[in-house]
Amino acid sequence: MKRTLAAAALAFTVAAAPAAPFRTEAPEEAQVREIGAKLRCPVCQSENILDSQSGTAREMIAVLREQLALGRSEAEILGYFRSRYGDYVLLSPPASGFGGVIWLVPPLLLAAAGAVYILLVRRNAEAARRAGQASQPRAPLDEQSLRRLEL
Amino acid sequence: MSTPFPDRPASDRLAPGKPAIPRWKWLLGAAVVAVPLLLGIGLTRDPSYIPSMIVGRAMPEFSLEALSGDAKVASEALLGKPLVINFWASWCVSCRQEHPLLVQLGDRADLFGEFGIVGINYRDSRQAALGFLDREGRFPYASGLDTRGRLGIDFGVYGMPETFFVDAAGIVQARQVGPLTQEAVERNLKLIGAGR
Repeated sequence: MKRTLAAAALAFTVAAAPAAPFRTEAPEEAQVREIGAKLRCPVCQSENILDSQSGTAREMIAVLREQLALGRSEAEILGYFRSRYGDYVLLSPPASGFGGVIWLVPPLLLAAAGAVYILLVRRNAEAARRAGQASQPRAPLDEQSLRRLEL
Repeated sequence: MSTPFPDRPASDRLAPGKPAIPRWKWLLGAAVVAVPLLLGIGLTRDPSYIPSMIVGRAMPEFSLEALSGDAKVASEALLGKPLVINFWASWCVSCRQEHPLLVQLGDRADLFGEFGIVGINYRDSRQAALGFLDREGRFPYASGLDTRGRLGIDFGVYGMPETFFVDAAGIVQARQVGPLTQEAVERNLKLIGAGR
């Protein structure tokens, strides 16, 4: 009995599988994900609105869908949220204004570190060259110097 | 006088024009002090604080269903005199803290009419909100229902409670995040021309 049931269940599963078509995503969902990933949830600080479980983030996704349906561009939608929550709502800071400073600092620091490194290497090389010169054999100490040093 | 260490490079010798501590050491020392200092200042700041975008701009318009079920709570009807807009919710713990102050503020608005006051019940259910008011005491003014938090997004609300102070021209002049205090109320009422 058990076997028959299992076989029937298997047969049904196999038969039913191709009948259930894959649900295809609405075309604008890709855009929802793309833009949503750039928006920071204002309530939870370091999550984007897609990952966040908060009600505010869900409502923001609803707003995002509505605006896409109205044919708004990504820039317009980001601008909409920025006018309400400021640059805070963008997960990557804009490259203009104060945000530009944030983008500039790492390359500047890298360049400064490189400059210091090169300077130190050069200085060391110079010191090594001098040391090489200094260790050239010299004339042995004369009688007077030896006596002065009490050797 | 002969030079003491003739085999050492001239740069290592103390020359009269050269400081005893080279400049790069000063710079390094300054950095060692400045970096922890800046990081320390950073620690004292609240990372969840979001500066308001709406202060200095016109208040968003709204027309919400009233908590009481009466006429709609509409921004149009509230304009023309200074206005206090308080976002609250039954699930918000610190809303209880400011509750008596809001009731008092509502009575004052009723008595003197120097400003209007309205509540926005934010992401809440009517039942829970009414239960909250039964426990804490009724507001002497109307509250609109922002069940989905859409108006909250327009105001840039991110925490509960938040209170906005709007002048008679409809320009938002101040925002208070967190429970109101007597001092904050007086300061912000002055900003919208309703202070004493």
